[in-house]
Amino acid sequence: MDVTELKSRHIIYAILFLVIVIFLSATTGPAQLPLGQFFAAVAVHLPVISGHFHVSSLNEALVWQLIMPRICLGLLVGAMLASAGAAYQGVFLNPLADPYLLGVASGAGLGATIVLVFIPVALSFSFNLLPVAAFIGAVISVALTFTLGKAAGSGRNSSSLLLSGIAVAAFFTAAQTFLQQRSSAGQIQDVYSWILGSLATAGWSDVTLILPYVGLSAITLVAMRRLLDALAVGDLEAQSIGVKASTIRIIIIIAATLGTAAAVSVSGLIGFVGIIVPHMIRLVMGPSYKRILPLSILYGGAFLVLADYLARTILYPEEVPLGVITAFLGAPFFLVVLRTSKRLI
Amino acid sequence: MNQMLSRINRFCFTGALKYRFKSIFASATLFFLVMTISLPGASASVKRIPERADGIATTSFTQRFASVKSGSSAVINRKKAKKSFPVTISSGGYKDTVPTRPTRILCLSASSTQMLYAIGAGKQVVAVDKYSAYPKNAPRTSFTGYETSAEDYLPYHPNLVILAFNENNMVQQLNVLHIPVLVMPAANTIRSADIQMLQLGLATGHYLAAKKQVNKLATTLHQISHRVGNKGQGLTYFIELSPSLYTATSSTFIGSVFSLFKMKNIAGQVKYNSNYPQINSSFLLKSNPDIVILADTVCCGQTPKSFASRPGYSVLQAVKNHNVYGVNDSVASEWGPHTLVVMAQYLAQVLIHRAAVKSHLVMINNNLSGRASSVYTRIILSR
Repeated sequence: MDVTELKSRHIIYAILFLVIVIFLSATTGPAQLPLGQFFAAVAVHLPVISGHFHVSSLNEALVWQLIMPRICLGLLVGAMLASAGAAYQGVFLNPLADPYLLGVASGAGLGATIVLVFIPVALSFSFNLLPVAAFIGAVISVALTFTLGKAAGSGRNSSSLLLSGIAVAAFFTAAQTFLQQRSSAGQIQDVYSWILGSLATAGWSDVTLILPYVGLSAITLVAMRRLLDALAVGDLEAQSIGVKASTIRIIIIIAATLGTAAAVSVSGLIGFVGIIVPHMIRLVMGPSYKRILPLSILYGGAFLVLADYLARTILYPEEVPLGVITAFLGAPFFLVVLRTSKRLI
Repeated sequence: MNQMLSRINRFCFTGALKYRFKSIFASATLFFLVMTISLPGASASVKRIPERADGIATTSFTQRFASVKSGSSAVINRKKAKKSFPVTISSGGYKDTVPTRPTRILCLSASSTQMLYAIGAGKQVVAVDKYSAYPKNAPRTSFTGYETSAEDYLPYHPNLVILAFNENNMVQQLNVLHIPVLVMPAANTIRSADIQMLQLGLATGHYLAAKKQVNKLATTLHQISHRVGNKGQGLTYFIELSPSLYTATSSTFIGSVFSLFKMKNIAGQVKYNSNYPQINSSFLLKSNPDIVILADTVCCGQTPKSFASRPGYSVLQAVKNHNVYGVNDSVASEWGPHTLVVMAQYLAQVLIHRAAVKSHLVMINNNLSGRASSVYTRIILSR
């Protein structure tokens, strides 16, 4: 029996868990809508059957404009962060690697801060400039990391890449801190809200904005899952079986980084998902990326939807920053898995 | 994390504030001063007293004026009021003595600046912070109130410094330099703002003028409230402080302005950890307020139009009825008499002409100073 192959039952369990979390999040949230009203609000947006349902405009707006986009965005962001985290851990052979390793967070943070501080009026445009600026910032910082890492190391040495990532992140964070110092109190609050991560203002436009990036990135990573296993045994061994390690590494890093940049641009900096979800799967299912990557996508999405559900319900009507929930929920659970599992990371 | 959030809340809403990061050199200076303060005997002049949750000082002074109410005759101890200096004032958890009538006042709170000029102490003011927008002739400086060293204030040779908060241990620093300092924290009610005005009157030698001003203010508010009648009774409102839905509850100064018209805050039904909570968008939609006030037009570029265009918000009756109004951000963070009257008048106009106003773009644009009142009145009435 191959303990590295992904079985259909693993996928079924993960999808079942995901469906339960979505259902729980959609129907038992603070809106406290009757189930009939909830399904009617969804049904009026479906072709063919839409004419058979009636729902008040308020309930329809609650479900279709606020709850559903938030759940969908949670799925996409969670799936992206978890799979990118798993991919980074595989590429750098480092269990502490997370999706923000190469400066994505600091670059996106600087981009977002520039918009919030210098062009606050952009927030009132019908086309939201904030995620675009965050995305551009993230891409620029990772491009800088690559350029500096290449210049510093011979070839694509992963250590020099990591070190240049740390340097670029420090530089961008310093620039962001300087801008925050020059901004007003209201702007600082928005910057902090963004840094702590939130899906509170999610809309369908955010979902459609990141869907292509996340989709492409996730497909690429899943397609590369066998090659990640090959990288785990070492570059020379991988090359001996016909795998060009440096090329594979670059493709995976670019895919994971672009997807992460897109996710971060709409959700802010949500921590822990990218480390905890892949490790929990690794501890339970074993070290093979053939299992870790596809399951990270499903469980990562479910985990973030669940965390967001708690963020908007536990102190209702107040919102709790999503980053707080992911750490509160994820860290103890992870420690339990770590303690009870006999597998090694 | 909670510490960080409470810190954000604290300095975001206790005045038109500015976050100030310490530079290495400033930190070194601060370290030196703190070390000096901590020397035996040096800290004797700093007397920290217990602070009440509502931010009003719990000292003998406040107890003496406990019966001061807006709209009623204040209890005045005339002998004490006319008593020459020194006077000891307790406020914001600190107590200090003003030895002589101050002639060089440095005021680092926009609300206190309004109060000083209202009670006739303007001539004694030598410098105010950059956020003191009213009155226009106030001697504005680049100070923010977040200066790390008291040394920054010395070129003005102040003999009284008024702060809104004790950032960077400024009270202790000024005590070391033997400069009297008063801390006038954010008022949560009109009454606590009145008490601050009386305290400033006592500290500057204008107590009777301050008392007169408090009574005048109460009469003005009563007249405004009378003009509106019961048009606001039972109407629900939401104050937006940032697009991420931070709001002010009815237990805040701006909330008390709405309470003048018997309006209900949608965030008023729940007990929060803060008076400035971040609420859920589902809650906003379900609460469906009659009136929405945007106090994030400056910081975050929000307009009634951008508010209406957010996902799902078009169903709100405030949006449908064009009752979303943009105001200057400072109305949510100042408690001075000018801001109070302008906001009350603005709200009165909104309530009286609410049904007739058919525009999303009713804004107070000129920083609530000078001609603000007449400008917005004309805008509404001309619709």
